[in-house]
Amino acid sequence: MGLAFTKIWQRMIGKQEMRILMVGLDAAGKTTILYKLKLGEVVTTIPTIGFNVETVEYKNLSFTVWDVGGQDKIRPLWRHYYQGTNGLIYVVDSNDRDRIEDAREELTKMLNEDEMRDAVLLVFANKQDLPQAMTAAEVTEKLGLHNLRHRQWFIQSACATTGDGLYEGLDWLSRTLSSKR
Amino acid sequence: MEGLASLLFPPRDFKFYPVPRPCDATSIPAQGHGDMFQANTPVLKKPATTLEQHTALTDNKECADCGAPSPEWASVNQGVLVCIQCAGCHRAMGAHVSRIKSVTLDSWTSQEVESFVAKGGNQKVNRELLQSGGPPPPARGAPRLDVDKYIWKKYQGGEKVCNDKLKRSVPLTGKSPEFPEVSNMGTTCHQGLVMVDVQSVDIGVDHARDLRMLGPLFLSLSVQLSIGSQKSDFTSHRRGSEKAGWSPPERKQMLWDAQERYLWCRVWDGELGFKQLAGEGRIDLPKLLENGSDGISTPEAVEVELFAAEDDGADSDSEASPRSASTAATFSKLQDSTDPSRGAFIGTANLKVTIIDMTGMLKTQTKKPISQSTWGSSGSD
Repeated sequence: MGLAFTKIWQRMIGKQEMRILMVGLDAAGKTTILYKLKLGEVVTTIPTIGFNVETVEYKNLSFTVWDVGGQDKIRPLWRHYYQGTNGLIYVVDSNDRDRIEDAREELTKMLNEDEMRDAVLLVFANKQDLPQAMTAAEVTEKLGLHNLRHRQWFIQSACATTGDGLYEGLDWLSRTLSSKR
Repeated sequence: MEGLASLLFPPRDFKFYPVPRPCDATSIPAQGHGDMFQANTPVLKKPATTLEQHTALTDNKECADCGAPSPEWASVNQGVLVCIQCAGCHRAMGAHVSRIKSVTLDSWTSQEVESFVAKGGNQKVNRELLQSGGPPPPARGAPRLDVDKYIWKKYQGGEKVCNDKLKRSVPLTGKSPEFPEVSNMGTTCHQGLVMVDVQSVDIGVDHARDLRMLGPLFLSLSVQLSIGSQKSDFTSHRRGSEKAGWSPPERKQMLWDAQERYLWCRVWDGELGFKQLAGEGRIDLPKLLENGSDGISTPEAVEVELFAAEDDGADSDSEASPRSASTAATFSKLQDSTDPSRGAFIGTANLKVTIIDMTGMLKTQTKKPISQSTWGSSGSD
């Protein structure tokens, strides 16, 4: 009953809690995005051998964002973080053409998992400031997003170090997740 | 408080994973490091042994950029081995300048190994870059910012140093209590997580009757978990008998530093205004982890024995417990209070526990301190 009351209260004051899992290949910019959102600052990161978790309040939602390391050896651990995930943020280094196929494989694998069935997908085509960055359209095509079935998804070109695109992405997430409730 | 607790109770069962030192030629024979990861991980392709041999060269035993010992990261295209801090700076320049891979946590193709080794190692690459007009290296122990600037100049021909991008996180002015460790953001992370699915509890008929005498006539049971000073929020309440079940199980997650030994499971009776501790028990986390492999315990059903406990929770601190009065000193009283079986056995709780412990993966990762403020669930509903 206490919990039900809390839920009603949360609805009244409008802060619903959302669990967001943010993954992607190593060096895609996940931790930089997390702290740009959390602190509004650019931090210089080092490889995340582990995970970060922060709550980010945006609009009427409280996002608990899990940022899990992307090294080959850590990727098999992502699945332990799936349960209860409302939204998946998949971060792609748009400048890294050599590994976009790896990125597609990892994404496909994840979306096929039963626990991720209901999660909405936001893709950040990150590092748009770099010279050879693929456009969001190119990333869309290379990730095969148009072939996704039964999935609400959105791709947003972004540059974590300037913050460009990040809030547009969160906007979509909050709109989509609010309307799902 | 936390510091005091860790001083009083040093971790007894702290699990140490021997991480081999890639660059210590004397301690590592040619078969090399990384075996512990590869043995259980079919995902990783076994790199040619030449990578192990290469990283073990005397030429490569210090970070090519700052001189830190035993670098575990490689810039595959630049041909240098660097420390994790400098690897961070390399990554910020973009993969077109430097493609960073972990020597132990990433898989390498044979072509990557071949071209990396062909560059000749840290000293050769450094010499060549210096000869072709690269910047002189900063002094040993130079401030991080100087090393970062050096790296940007060194690998990008000097013209593209972007000061904006060299902003290491610094503490915000006017300390915000909300972000106590802001200076560590991005350079530390959590490495342990304990996931608990609460399935059911049974506190026994007799104890349920005792509890009913103390409060309302119906029981309302909920479970709260804790590790150290970190508390999960309560599960939803279950009204009725001495038995309560959650279907589907309710999941609670807690950060873990791989040092706190016990996961505590406390069963509470009551809600809103009235709450009493019905029973408590604990799980030995390092012991549970022993059943897993590679720092992961697969989801495991655990039956926790619950013991009656004095209500030392939020509601009553006025009542001096007879047991603590009988102890000689404060210290032993504290120590006593960590053992739940000082109370009478009352029943059991059924949990499913999954542990992730990444502390063994890399020796140079700095752990983020666990504080309530970084964690959404504080101890109330």
